[in-house]
Amino acid sequence: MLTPLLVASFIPILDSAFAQEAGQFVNRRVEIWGLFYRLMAAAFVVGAIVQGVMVFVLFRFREKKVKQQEVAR
Amino acid sequence: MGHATIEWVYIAAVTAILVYVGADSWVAEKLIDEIPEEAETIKVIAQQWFWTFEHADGTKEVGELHLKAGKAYRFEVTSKDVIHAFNIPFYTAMIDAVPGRINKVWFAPDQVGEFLIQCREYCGLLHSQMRAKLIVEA
Repeated sequence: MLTPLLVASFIPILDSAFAQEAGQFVNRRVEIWGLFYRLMAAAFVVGAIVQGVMVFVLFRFREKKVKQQEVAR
Repeated sequence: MGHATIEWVYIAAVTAILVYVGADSWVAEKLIDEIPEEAETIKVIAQQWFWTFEHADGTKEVGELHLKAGKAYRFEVTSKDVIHAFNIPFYTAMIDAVPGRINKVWFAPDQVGEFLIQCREYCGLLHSQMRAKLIVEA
């Protein structure tokens, strides 16, 4: 499950290797804002995962569930 | 699905995203920190409460900086009194101006026009007025 995400983490390294052509300068403005938006997206994904897990755990182990009542007894 | 499965999925997904964040940031920082060899040096001197710029040919400007679009510039930033910070918001360039130290930042202006240069480190009474004008010419 981790493999695609780990592979994805190496994409920017490959990107940068081919990014700069001779005689052209890196556009810092574009790079910095691009990084900001990508990291913001990553932060929202982490937030969604955390929230999703919390909702799932609360729903899966809710007290009202018959199975849980059996375990409690 | 066992009790611990969801925790492992959660840990793996978050760890993978954080690895991506670290790799992406590292690559971007490496890319933007590398000063091109052909960059022209401009000495930036900060003092309460104005900016002085010295071009490679020795000409000085106070409160205004004239640059050419499409050229790369390396700024060697220092201060004569307290700590200031040299910031050009439009070009996302910012570095501290520290007395006795020369800090470097670079960028290549790509758009013609007038842009703000502002001190970003509180440096005393007129800190908010410690501005200069960046004029990028074709």
